[in-house]
Amino acid sequence: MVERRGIGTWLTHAGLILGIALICFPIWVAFVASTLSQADLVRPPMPLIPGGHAIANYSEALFTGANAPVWLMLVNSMVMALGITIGKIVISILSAYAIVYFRFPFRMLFFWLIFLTLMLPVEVRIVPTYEVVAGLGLLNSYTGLILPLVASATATFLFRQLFLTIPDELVEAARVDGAGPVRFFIDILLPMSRTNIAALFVILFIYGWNQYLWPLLVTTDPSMNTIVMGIKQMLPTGDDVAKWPVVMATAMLAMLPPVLVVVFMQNLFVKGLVESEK
Amino acid sequence: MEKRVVFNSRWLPYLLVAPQVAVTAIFFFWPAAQAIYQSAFIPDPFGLKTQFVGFGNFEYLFGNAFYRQSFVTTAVFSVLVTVLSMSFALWLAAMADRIIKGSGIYRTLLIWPYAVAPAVAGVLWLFLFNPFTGIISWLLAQYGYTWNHGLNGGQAMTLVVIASAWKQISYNFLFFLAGLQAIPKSVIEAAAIDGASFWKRFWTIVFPLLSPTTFFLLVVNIIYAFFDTFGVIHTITQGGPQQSTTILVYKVFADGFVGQDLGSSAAQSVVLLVLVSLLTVIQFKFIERRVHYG
Amino acid sequence: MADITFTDIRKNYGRTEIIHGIDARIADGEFIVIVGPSGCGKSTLLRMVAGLETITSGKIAIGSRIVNELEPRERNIAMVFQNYALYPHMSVFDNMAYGLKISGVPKAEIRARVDEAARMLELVPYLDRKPRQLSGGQRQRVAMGRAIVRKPAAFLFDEPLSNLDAKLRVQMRLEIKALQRKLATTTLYVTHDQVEAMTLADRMIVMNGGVAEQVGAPLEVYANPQTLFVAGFIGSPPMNVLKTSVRDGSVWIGGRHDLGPVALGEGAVIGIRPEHLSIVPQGAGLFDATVAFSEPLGAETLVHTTTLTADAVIVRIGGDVHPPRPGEVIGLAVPPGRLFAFNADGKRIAGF
Repeated sequence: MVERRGIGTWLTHAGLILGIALICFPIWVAFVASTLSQADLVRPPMPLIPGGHAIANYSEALFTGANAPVWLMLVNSMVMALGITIGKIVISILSAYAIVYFRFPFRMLFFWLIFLTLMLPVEVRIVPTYEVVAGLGLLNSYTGLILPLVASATATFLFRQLFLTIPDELVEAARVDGAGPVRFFIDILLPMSRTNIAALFVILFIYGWNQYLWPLLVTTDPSMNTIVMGIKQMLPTGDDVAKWPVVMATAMLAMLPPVLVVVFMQNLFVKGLVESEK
Repeated sequence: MEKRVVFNSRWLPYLLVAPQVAVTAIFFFWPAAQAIYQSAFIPDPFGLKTQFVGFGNFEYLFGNAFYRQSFVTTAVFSVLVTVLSMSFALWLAAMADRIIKGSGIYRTLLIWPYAVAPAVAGVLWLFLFNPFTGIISWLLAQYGYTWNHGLNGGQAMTLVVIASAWKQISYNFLFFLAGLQAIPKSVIEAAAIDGASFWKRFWTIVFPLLSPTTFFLLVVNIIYAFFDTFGVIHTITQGGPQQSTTILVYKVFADGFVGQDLGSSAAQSVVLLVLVSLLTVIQFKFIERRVHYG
Repeated sequence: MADITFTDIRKNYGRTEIIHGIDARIADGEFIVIVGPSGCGKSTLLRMVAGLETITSGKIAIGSRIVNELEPRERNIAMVFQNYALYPHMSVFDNMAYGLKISGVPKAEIRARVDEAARMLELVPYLDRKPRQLSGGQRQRVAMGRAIVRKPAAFLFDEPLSNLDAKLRVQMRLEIKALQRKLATTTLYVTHDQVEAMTLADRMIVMNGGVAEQVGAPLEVYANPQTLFVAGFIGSPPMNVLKTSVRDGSVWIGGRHDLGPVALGEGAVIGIRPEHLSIVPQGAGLFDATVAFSEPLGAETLVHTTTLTADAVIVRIGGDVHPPRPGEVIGLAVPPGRLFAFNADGKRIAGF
């Protein structure tokens, strides 16, 4: 279009760059802080260019940490995140398959039950869920971290929607070819769902990795801390002065896996996000 | 929607739904039922027996000034986070939509915060605004403005709002951008020919056509502000100073886990349950509407 | 009301030139159809007039103003899009009133103008409806109504009938022509359908590959095509093309007819329109051909034949005449002056 924008174009770019600067500023500051020494930070203003203490800070974080070394927390986080992600995907795809491709009594009941879970985020049932988990002896365990978060309505709905768009002719052809429901699922449905599974993987991994409240409640043993909840324990309480460089190094490590996943799988991620909310 | 062609099997479907149903039953419905049940009891001082009080806990809750205050705090917090986050995201999306070349790079650079946990976002912004060492607090001090969110309730609210809104901008940006790109180019061209300048076009054509996305994001953002921001509050202010940032979900935690008041916590959980249900129903109603525009 | 002038218009996308210098003068009130196959650049040309595409070089003038640097809204033009581009969230009335509202026309006058256009286009019962509640033809009318109320200097139509079914297309064609006659506004109309071009145009611009191959009134272009492309594009069924061969200093077509020692050049071809051929006994016409099959259309029959030199020739005969049987060998006669000659580059050889 012929548009006499003149400075308009520059303003648009400038505006976007300003927006990006505002968005990225906290992360940049955190990164810089993670490379400085405590002395640099104790008296503001802190420098805005990286310093030379990166190795010292990151080592201290990884191997000492606060109540638990960060490397251990990273492992816990990874186990939890992967467990939640894979668990959610597996459970949801199986349920969606059953609900779409079979007729059985209570089918719609199950469907509505799953729908109801949307209204029950963990924040709404923290105390009783904690009691159940404690009662089952699952505190301070990976199972306890993962299992209560693994039933997902959104993933089930997404798969259901996907399956509904797959033509009936495929099922008929498969049956004619002699495939039973299990074969159909493994040989035909799963491959066709690959993109959706990948997209969901990204979103659920981030969801799982970033869990805060639940790990906070369910872990009392510091060796089970996840990194996202563990950071809090490194923060100053009262008049203590925190070792900010180490805290910031921990924060960077806490952000790294999800950010990498988002940036490298960007297209899948955006697709999954927009599709899953439909 | 139903599938015309299905498989016949007696037991397979039950096997397939079993895992989800089991987890849902044990970890969702059973605790929820417990919460509802417990909300009608108060424990005796020794925690040995409980006494049935019916709606007593609820009456007490709503009579409690702190609890009512928490409602107000939550409302203020949600509105601020939603408005701030959505406006900024819309502006960024409108700018990005106008650029033909390079919008991919801008998008990559703007979606980072989505991956950051609310708790970590809290830590980042806490660091920036730390009353003693934070760079922004220092900057404000240069202009004569003292920043200490540990003492000043308004500042505490400002800080948690900023941290929460910051994190949510990416999500809103992605949806607004998708919404903008879904508007047919020819409609914009028709408006240009009809005499509308860029801003006229934006307010009379683009924004109305964006309304399904806007409504949807409104609901999602409010749900986010209600529930997902626990990490922000816990890391930065712990609900203080003097409860000025104690939103409802934080109060459930504080009263239930820290204060050990199980009856009240259960009752609060039930209240939250009702709120979430309301919001979820609205969200699904609006998702139905989305299909109808354009 | 205004005339439109194209002066050496060129358009590049990146480094590829897709419009290679178009010149034309369109008089005030004329209905000009820009016709050509897909990808010839006709829509791009139209969009350059509208300001929806930038002009790489050359000048477009509307009236006395050169509009190259003007934004669409400053050009005083109105456009009807192929997919109508109606504002989905507004009623029919508001769709038509939008442009007027923006330019600050008083409400009473808006009401009057929209009502008048609605009456002209039979849209009065639909004024309160939203576009999604209308049929394709109705949406088309709303799009036209939106253009009419603005009383612009020129109307631009971008293949407006492509999305309608055949019957509706014929009906809308007539309505558009009548409307334009009534309003006497300069009109630029883009289409790939040569029938639309023939029936609507005061003059046509026939485009191919970014070049205007011929500009002229429909019958003039039909009777006097300047290039082989125009000859084949305008007219249905298309003009028959016969290869030539040179034997003993003479030019032959169809393996039989000697055109004499005319200077046609290497690779020249001869064109004959199907309606100018008549069937005569074998050997009695210009050349012979074998009948492949016939298409009886009712009012006329198209006889498909092949000559001795493997040219495909279609002959048009009356519908009440008994067509020859497949396999029969017939003679084809042509009255003098009905042969067109084109050289190897596709240019018409004059004076033949």
